[in-house]
Order: sequence, then structure tokens, then C-alpha cells
Amino acid sequence: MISSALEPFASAFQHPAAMLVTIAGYLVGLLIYRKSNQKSWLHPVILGVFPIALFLQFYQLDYADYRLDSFPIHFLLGPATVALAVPLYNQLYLIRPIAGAIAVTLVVGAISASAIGALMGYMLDLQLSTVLTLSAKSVTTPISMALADSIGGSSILAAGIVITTGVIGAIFAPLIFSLCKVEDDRARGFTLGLNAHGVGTAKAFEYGELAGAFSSLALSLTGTITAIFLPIVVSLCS
Amino acid sequence: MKKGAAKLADILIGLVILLCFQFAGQSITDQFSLTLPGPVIGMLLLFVALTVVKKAPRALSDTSAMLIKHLSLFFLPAATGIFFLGAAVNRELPAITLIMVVSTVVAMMITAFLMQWLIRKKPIDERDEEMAN
Repeated sequence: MISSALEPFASAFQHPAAMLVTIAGYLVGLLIYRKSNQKSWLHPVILGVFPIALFLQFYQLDYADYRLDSFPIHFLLGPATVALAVPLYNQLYLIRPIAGAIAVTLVVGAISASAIGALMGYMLDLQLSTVLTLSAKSVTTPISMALADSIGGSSILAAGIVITTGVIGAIFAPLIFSLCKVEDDRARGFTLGLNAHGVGTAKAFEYGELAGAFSSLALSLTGTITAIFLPIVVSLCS
Repeated sequence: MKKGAAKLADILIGLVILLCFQFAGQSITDQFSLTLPGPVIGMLLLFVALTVVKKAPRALSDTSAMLIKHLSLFFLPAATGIFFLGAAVNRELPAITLIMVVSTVVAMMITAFLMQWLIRKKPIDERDEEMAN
């Protein structure tokens, strides 16, 4: 009994390689990203996955084992999410005066982020579980995985789709902002957090604390209202 | 040596504060079996706590800033999963990729346009008034 409970720990000691390749991959990615003058398609999230994937391929390791061995890194996502409350509080005096605009954008934006992908999936005749998973693509990973399960999607696919959506959002953000002449950091941040959750928020903080705070705000609000309303909408539609 | 050690202690104090709120958030999520993850509830709780105490302790601000600065790192293990989605999805992968790109870009344009238009008459210079108070 005890030995089986301790098994995860034993395996963490067997493969320090998972931690090594993740942190080293991130640092190399960060270095290249900074040297490239922060080109958005060279973001550390994108660059970092290649050394990890190559490593797993080379040593014929299971992705599931890698997740177990690299768990301490994934775990820090929890405190980091809680930490978003600090910049949010620091920027509260800038959020309050435009609460109405935030509420309107939140509703319209969250519906667009959820519905456009799902409608396209429906029109392209994808399987129902994929369509449902697509409807949860813009909310933060843990919410979308739980949501996908509860509305009949796939939580494994959800994790992949959500992260990829975040990366796409971070890549295209500078292009979209310059194309649409969006120069206000509040709008930039809110757009990133609403559509590209945590990965977008990491990107938003590069525009400054103001954009980061609005992104954190959008991340938590979008996650909350999607978690509440998406299951209701899905049950009404089926 | 001593300075470095003291700094690590500060970081750990900040981490403990964050973990307390995450723990509280997780307890609430479990208790009421909510779809919202514990850390998101923890974030809302910390936000409320900050509005009460009015100022974040330095250890908390420092640790938070550090974690947020390297937020991308914490996504790497999950992000690597895109290479290992499995056979069931591979057939639909081109369509899914197309949908993700198009729908995300369109939704971002809608959001950015709308937000910028709604706040066009509310410049950020309210900061100065607030600072003066």
C-alpha cells in the first residue's frame, strides 16, 4: 500500500531528465526569443516544446511519464494563477471607471470566442465531441478540461486545443493589433486574456503591467462565465 | 551569501501566501463541486483580501511578479501534449488547426475592436487624478 503510494516519488527521482529538459528548453527558448527582439512566433512556449518532444522521441519515453516527472513545473501554474490577483489589484483604479465597457466586451467576446470555433467545426462536419471541445477553446486549461468532460467533449483534446489556441493568440496578437490599430493597452490585454487565456496573459505582460492586469481580469471573467453558461447552452441545444 | 538566503526566504514567504489562497480556493471548489478550478477561486479570494488590506506585502508582490514573468515555463509540459494527441484526432487535425487559427483571429478582432471603441472616450489619464488623491 505504502509502496504504491510512493511510486510517483520514486519515478520523479528516476527521471530528473524531464525537469532538466523542460527548464533548459525554456531557457534556450527565452534566450532566442529575447535575441530575436521578441518576435511573437518565436515565443518560449513554441520554442520550448520542440526540445522536449525531440527528447521524448529520442529516448522513446511516454508522454504520460514525462507529465508525471515534470509535475513540479505544472504545479507552479496554480500559485502563478493566484498571483495574477496582485497586478489586478494594483490596476483596479483603472478597471473601475470602464466596468461597463468591460462587461459588454466580456459577453460579446466570450460568445464569439466560443461560438465561432464551434460553428466552424459543425459546418466542417467534425465529430460532435470535437465540436463541443472547440466551444471551450478560449478558457484556461483546467476549466476547459473540466468543461469538455461535463458537456461531452474530450478533456485530452481540450488541453491540446486550449494551449494551441493560446499560442495562436500570442502569435497573431501583434499583427491583429497593428492591423486594427488597437493601441490601447487595456483593449490589448483584455483581448489576449479573453481569447488566449494564460498563454495570452504571459504575452500581455510583455506590453506592460496594465495590459497584463486587463488580461488577468479577462482570463478569470471569461473562465467564470463560460464555466457557468456553456453547459446550460449545450444542454439547451441538444 | 546571507543576502541570497534572505531573498529566497522572501520568495518562499510569498509562495506560502499564494499557496494558502490556492488551498482555500481548492477547498471551496471541492466542497461545492464547482467547474471552476481552485487556483482561479484562489485568485478571486486573494483579490478580495487585497482590497481589504489595501497593499500587497512585499514578499507577495515579489514572488507574484517572478511567477508571472515566467508564466510561459509552467505551460510547457501541457503544451508538449500537442505532439501526442492520438490517432482519433489526427484525422481531423487539419480542420481543427484551420478552425483554431481562423476563429481565434476573428474573435480577437471583434474583442479588440469593440473594447477599443467602447473606451475611446475614457483615456488612461485618470491615473493622474487618482495619484493626486
